Amino acid sequence: MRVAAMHISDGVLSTPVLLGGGAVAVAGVALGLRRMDYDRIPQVALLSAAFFAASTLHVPAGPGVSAHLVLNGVTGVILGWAAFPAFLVALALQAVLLQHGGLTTLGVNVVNMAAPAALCCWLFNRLVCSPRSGLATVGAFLAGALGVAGAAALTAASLALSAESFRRAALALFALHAPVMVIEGCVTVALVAFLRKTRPVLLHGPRIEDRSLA
Amino acid sequence: LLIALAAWVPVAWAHRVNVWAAFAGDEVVCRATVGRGPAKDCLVRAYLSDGRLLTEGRTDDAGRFSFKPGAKADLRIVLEAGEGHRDEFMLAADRTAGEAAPAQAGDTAASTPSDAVATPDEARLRQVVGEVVDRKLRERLDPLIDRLASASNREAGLTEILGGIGYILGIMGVAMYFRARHRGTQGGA
Repeated sequence: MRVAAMHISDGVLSTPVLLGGGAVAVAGVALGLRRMDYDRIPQVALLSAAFFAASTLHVPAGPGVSAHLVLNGVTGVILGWAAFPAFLVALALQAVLLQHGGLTTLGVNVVNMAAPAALCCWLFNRLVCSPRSGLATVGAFLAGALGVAGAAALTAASLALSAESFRRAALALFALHAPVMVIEGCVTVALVAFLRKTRPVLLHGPRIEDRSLA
Repeated sequence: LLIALAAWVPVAWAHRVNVWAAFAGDEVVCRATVGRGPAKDCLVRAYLSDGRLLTEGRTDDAGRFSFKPGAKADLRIVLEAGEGHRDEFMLAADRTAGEAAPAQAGDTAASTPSDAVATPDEARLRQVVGEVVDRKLRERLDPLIDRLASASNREAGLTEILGGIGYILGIMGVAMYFRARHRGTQGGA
C-alpha cells in the first residue's frame, strides 16, 4: 500500500527552503503566542491534540493508496494565528513519536499547515459567524476544503523549490487529497454547526482578538 | 471530536517508509516498506561512501530491489518514495566479513606456494567447506534477517499516539501555569 502525506521528511528539502520555512514559522508562532490568552490555551491544546491524532487516520484515496486527515481548516477557523503554536507542538511530536515528518523540516511543515489555516480564518471566520446558518455551512465547508488544498499547494511548492517538479508533486498531492478535502469540509461543517449551537464564543474568538489588537 | 477520531484509529496508522539492505552473495538486496506493507515501485539509489551514485532502480511488487555492486564497499542506500517520503540505510562492507573471509582465506592458501605444495588437498578442502557452510548459513539466516528487518521497522502504535496527546496536555498545563502566574503578578502590581 502506498500512503501519501503532506509532512516532508528530513533530507528532502534544500537548506534555503528549510531556513526560509523556519524563519516564517518562528514569526507565525510568535504572533500566535501573542494572540493566545490564558482562556484559549486549552482550545489550542485540544486542537493540537486533534491534529496530532488525525495524521494517523487514513482515508482511502483510490486503489492501494490512502491519505490522512489534516484538520488544518477547522483548526484555523477556530484558532486563527494561534494555529501556528498548535501545529508546532503537534508536528514536533509527530516527528519524534511517529517518525512522521522530521525535525529539520519542522519549520517548513508548520508553515505549510498553519499558513492556510490562518488564511482560512481570515477568509471565512466572518461567514462562519454569520447569523444565517446557510452561509455558515458554506463558509465552514470551504474552510475545511481550502485548508487541505492550501497545505497541498504549499507542500508541492516546497518540494518544487528543492527537487521534484512542481507539476508532478502538485498533481499527485491534489489527486490524493481530493477525498480528504471533501471529508474535511463535512467535518468542519459538522463541528461549526455544533459550536454555533453550544459555544458560539469559540468561533468569535479570533475575530474579537483581531479587532482588539487593531 | 477526539472520541470520534479515536474510534477511527485502528484503521491504519504509520506510513513511515523504511529501507533495509544486506549483502547476499555478490548481490545487495534492498527491502523497502511503507508501514506494514511493501513499498512498491519506489526509487532506490545506492551511493558509495565518497558520495558517487553507484546505481539506482525501482522496487518490485514485493518492495525488493537487488543489484550487483561489483566490489564490496560501504554503501548508502536511499529510498525516495516521493511526496517527501525518504529513508536511508548505511550498509557497511564489514557486515559481510563473515562471508568474504573464508573464500579469501581459501584463495590466499591456494596462492601461497609453500602451502599449496605442502597440503594442496587441505587448501581445496577449506575452500569447498567454506562455500558449503556459507550457503547453508545463508539459507538458515535469511528468514532471521527478514524478521530482524521487520522488527527494526518499528511501527507507531496506540502507545505513541496516547503519549503524544499526553505531552500536549502537559504542555498545556505548563503554558497555563506560566500565564496564570503572569496574570497574577500583573494583577497584584
